Amino acid sequence: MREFWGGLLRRSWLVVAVFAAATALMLVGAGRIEMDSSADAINPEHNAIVELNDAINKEFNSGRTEVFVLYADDVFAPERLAAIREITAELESVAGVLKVTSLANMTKMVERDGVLEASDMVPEGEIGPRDVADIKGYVASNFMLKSGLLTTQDGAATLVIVEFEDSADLPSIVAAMERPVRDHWAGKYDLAGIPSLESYLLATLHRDLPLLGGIALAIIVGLFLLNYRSLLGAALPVLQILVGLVWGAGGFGWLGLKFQQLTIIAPVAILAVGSSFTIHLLGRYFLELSRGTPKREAILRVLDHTGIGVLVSGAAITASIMTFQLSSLAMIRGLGVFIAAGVFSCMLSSLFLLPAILDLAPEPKVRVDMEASPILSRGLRRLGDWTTRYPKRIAAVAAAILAVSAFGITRIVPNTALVAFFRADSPVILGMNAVNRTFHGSTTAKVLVSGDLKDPELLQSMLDFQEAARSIRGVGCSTSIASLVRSIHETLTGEAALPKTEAGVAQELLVYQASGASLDDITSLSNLGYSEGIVNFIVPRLSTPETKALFDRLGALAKACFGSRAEVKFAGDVLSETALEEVLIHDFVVSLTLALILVILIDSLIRSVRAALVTITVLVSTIILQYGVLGLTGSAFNMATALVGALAIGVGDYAIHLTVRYMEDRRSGLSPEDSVKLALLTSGRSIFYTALTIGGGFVALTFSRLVPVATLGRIMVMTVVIVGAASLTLLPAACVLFLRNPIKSHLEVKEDE
Amino acid sequence: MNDTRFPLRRAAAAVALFLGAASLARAQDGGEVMGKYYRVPKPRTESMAMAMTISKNGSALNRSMTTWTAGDNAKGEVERKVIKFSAPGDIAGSGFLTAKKVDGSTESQLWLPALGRVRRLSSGASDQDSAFFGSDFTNRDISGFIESDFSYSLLGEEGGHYSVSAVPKKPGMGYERIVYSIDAKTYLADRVDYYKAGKLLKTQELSYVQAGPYLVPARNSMKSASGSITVIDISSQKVDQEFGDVFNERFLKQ
Repeated sequence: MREFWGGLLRRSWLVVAVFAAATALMLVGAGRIEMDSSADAINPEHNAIVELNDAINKEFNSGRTEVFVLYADDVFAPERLAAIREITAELESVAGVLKVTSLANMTKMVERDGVLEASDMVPEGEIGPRDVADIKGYVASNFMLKSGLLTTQDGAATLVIVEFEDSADLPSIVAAMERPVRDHWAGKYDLAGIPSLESYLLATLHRDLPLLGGIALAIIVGLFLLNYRSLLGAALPVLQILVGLVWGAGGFGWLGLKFQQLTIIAPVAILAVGSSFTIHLLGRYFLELSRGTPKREAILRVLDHTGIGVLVSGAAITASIMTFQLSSLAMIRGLGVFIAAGVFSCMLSSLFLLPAILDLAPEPKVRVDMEASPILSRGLRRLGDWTTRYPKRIAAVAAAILAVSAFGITRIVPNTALVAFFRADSPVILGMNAVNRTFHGSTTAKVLVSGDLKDPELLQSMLDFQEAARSIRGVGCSTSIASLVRSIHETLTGEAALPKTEAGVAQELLVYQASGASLDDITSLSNLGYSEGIVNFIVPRLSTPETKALFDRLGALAKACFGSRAEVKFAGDVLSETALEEVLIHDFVVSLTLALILVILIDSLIRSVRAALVTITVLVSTIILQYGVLGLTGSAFNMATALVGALAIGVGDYAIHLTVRYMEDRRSGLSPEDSVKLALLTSGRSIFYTALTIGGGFVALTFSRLVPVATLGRIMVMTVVIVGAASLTLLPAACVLFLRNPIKSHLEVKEDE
Repeated sequence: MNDTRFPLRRAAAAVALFLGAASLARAQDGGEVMGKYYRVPKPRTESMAMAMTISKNGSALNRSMTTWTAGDNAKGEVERKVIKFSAPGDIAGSGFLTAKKVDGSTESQLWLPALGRVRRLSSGASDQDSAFFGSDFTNRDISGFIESDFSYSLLGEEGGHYSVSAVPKKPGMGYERIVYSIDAKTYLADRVDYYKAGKLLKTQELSYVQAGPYLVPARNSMKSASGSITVIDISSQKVDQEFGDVFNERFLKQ
């Protein structure tokens, strides 16, 4: 290996040129990255709930919803009705909008002077007092509307429901949808739905990224300066991080992947994880220089001794992050590619570019004596004495902490709802709460009913189900083919009931069609064969456990109301969010297990099985602690916190570096206890500063206004502290107890030769 | 200098005159083509069996009916139509009677056996844009347009077909533009594209069959951009026959 590194150092300029060219190529790739902020991006693939929701949307020409609540003293005032009409017409022409339901375009079917007439609720042209009286009267008496489907009883608010295609770009569509409302509604309005939540999410991310990135970079550079007291010492890690970021982004762009909501975590993860390689290498470099080793020899020793740790740790982190590819969420897979490419690039850059630059740059004038830092060194020495004296006690305390954490894991509550991303005081949540207060919800729960929908008994079961569901807290108004038929029948006969025969149902629907209603009026509630229909309930966006509970209650009611008369299935945006929860847990378990196996395999191949098992002890302990704390503090398991396990492997490379150093000292003939003490004294310093640096990087995330990102930041800071503490206490104890005679790998044998 | 400029001006004027004349000729051609389309001989009376299938998202609704029509608005007559549904069973016996006056207003009645009474349906020009029994056709698509309500321009001639664009002269005609593909021999439309808000809204395709001296539609389909399609298969056409008095409530109830 020494010859290989020596050969590279003789071609330092070439190495720098190759990296410069590759970085330029990756910059071009980074420029090709496209944003994907569609609702599709947060849907798991090949999931039965999501597929059913998609199928229902397609069959009934519906989609994801955004709702506007328009407030006024009297929404039935002529100028207000005219404004609703204008808003509805303009919303209907917005690209990507499938359907708009409002007071203006709701079909009004009345019998006037013996003539049956179906038309839009708000007529074209000037709206006169008679029109207003007609509309008010119809809304107050119509079976579907009188319960407050579109207007409040006092006429102080009205609802406009917009359904749009899943593929629509959410920030664009929410801007296009809000424009007509802003232009035509002279008064207060609130909006709620996936587009407004996603737009706010992206706007927050755009605001947060430069801020958080800046804070992270400032903290990291500051700590580098503190550690090395040299500009070169601060500039080189930043250069490695930049290479990692550019290559990560470039690889992402060249692969044609799209930047989605969670991809935003990648730069911070690369920043935090990728910096550790250089810290370890530079730490050893400055140590060698402080011992008076000539520059080139110092570089070669760094590569010989610390390079293997960087290689093991880089390969392990890359492999563990690449397990994200097993996810059924495109967003998580993309995130995995970005971080893995970035971290791998940081490793390559640390192993090749960093030595080349160190070789070309003048020797640093200010040299830090890495072994003579009084306070830290004293502390590390004491720690070394303590860990070698009481290894069993340390192991026992660690076991106790792990037992408590394991209990905490059982208390984890998953919550993958989009609303959980936002703080309670954020404008989108305040708006959504206002909509919930006025109309009991801002989205729809869809109940697919399969059976003979012309059978009056089944239609009555539907009505019973709708009525019973109103007793469930949070469930608002509903629509269905049964409500429509009931409404038509009342208009035609004055009887507050459903038709008594199938022929009656069919013929009344024929009247409805013949009197001018559009095909969509019926096909949005039933298929053309009347064999499948949909009941739409207005429901609030809740946490996923609450949503599950709501759907469970709906399921029980459906069973009681329909019996064997019909088959019933449930769908809706909010139910898809619960599907995300199941997918996320599955992905988490599979990917983390595989990542740990990969770390063991890689470490075993490069070093030894026993060394790998000791390293993994620290990582597994850390992961148990992470999720234990998550459960004990009541933080939710979501898309962001699901990643902390894999990221722990990224920050857990201290263990690798410490065991590498321990084994190196054991090879030199020192006893296990003395090897631990020396490893702590030398690698301990790097571990301390790496922990500070990575922790500093993740501290930046805690300032995020997005709840999961801030939680991820907090958990990662805690992780860094835990891994650092475990590496400096539990790991040395484990080395003394279980790794007294580490088996040498082929690589180490060669090194010895 | 003048000598060189003058011929250029004259040439430019000639080109402008030629282009103007050419465009005028094209507009006249479009009008002429559509004039012939509107004046294709039509039966005085017509009866037929119709099977209407409305399909959307994989499900379909089939209805069978028999229709009787008489009268022609273009000749200043009231157009009358009776539709009697025969299938599916739950609407069998239902009947629809409509009378469209020259001014475009309609009077419609619907007989529903289950309710045991005849219902009068709303009239007025706006109803012309309503769906024809929940299909992709509007009532206007079924009853036809009035020649003088549109201005026409010939878009081209290819493969024995004229392509003519029809733009309404006044608002409220249901569409922003209609493009006809007219057979150069028969002057019947075999394809009609309907545009609204700058987008293709739906496409109608027609095929014809000989009935007596006339070519009458055998299949009339309308495909909407939203994905639904309505196909009307027509059979048993009888033309220029005396029906007796079928356009009344008594016949509707039979």
